[in-house]
Amino acid sequence: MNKAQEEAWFGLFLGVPLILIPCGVSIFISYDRGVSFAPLVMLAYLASMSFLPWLFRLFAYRNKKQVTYDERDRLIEKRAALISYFFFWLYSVIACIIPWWFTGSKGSVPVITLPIILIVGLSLFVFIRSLMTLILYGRGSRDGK
Amino acid sequence: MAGVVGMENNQLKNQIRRLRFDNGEMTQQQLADLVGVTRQTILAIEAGNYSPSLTLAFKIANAFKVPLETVFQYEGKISG
Repeated sequence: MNKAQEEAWFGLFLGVPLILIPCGVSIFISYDRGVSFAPLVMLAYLASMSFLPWLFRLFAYRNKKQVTYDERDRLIEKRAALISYFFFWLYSVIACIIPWWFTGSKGSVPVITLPIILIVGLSLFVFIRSLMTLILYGRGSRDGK
Repeated sequence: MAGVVGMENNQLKNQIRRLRFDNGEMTQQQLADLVGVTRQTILAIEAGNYSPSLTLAFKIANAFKVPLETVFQYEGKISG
């Protein structure tokens, strides 16, 4: 298993909870307790989380003596990202249409729906990208010694 | 599913395994180090699951000191 696969396993099992749990807590606090700065806390958390993959790579790929990342890894990452972007886009379209469909043209939805749509979409993106990375690597099962 | 990256129609044959053994039983890791990729990439190319870039293909041929067509052979139809 190379570093990109390790990163994908990390994203698959820890990436989604790392997005859903803190953001869900922020949304709940904002909704239930009316804490006005909760959206800012969530935004700051998401911004800091976006640096996590880069931090991971800083430590994971620090061994300069042996090649740990090459053109095949780059291609796999690119394809996994493209596929997950496709699903994220599809999800975004559905998330926009469904409230309109259910509530009607003059209906309304609570504003809390918007951050929920955002964090579910981000989680979906991270999950699909990690899953596709592992599938494109063949889950490492065909890597001989 | 390992064959889904860069090689959907496996029409590019290669002689890497034979050339490695002809060159003092070179290991996949040694070849990978020579051309600057991971061992998994060499494994995927050898197995026909991945088509290398033109640059990498030339690097592999240079590593064995043979022409490109000795390492890779295209066996598909050439249209047009």
